[in-house]
Amino acid sequence: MRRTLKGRAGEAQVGRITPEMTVLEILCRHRHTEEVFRQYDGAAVVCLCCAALFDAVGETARKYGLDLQGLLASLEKAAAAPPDESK
Amino acid sequence: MADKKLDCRGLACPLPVIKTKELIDQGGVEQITVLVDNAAARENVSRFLERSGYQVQVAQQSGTLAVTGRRGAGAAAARPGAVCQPEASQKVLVLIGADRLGTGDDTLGQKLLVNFIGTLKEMGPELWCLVLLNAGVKLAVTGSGVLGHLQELERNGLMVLVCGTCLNHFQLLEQKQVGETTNMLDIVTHLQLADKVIPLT
Repeated sequence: MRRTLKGRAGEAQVGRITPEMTVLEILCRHRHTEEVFRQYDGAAVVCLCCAALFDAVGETARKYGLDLQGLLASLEKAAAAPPDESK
Repeated sequence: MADKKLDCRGLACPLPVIKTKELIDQGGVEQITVLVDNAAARENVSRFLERSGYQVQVAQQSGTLAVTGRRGAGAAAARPGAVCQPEASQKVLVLIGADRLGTGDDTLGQKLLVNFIGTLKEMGPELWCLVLLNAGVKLAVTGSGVLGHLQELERNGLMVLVCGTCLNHFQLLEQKQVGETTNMLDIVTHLQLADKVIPLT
């Protein structure tokens, strides 16, 4: 049976967020990282979840002049934190 | 045939794509229609469906954009332009893992690869995706002898995926001029989606 994206990006996994991962991949693995991307929208002057959804986060940082290490650290922190169910 | 509908009006990115993905991940979805109300969602849902192997059509009705993806036997008939364009009977993926073709003489190998890329268009609409990895990524950067051919192929609808790890390894990220920087997960997914893989490694 042919699979598409099933069972890959959507699976909750604990692991490093790397520059090669796409924004969508990160969002699917760690849904609550959306807030981090939103925080960087101002610096990028675009909605990253709109304009860079399929791009690697490393390329996105370069393209929009973002601090890649800071972004990765924020994403990792958000990914490691348990989601706030009250939201 | 599973025909799914999803109303994502009023939702901002990335939610329309994530909801579409969740529905597709349930499996067996041959046709899906996603309603959105903004250009970014239309673009991203369309792109996601195409990357997932669907043929996509977008219809607009009074502010609502209906993005429909089809795959399987019904896809060809629904494709825009089907009357005048030959249809792809299969999706062919070409995987290029070197900047030359064959072994024996590197100069000859480079010439052969230029010739090969220039001739790829003869595959017609069946040529669906080109993956460049390892030294193959050098074909997609400034100074490449096949850059013009690749850009023309991309303009004509070919999906060109360029390994980001490889670009980074060769310190060529800034020089990439064609294709979409991607990762191994994407490459593996496209290998799965392809009907036929032609590896040149």
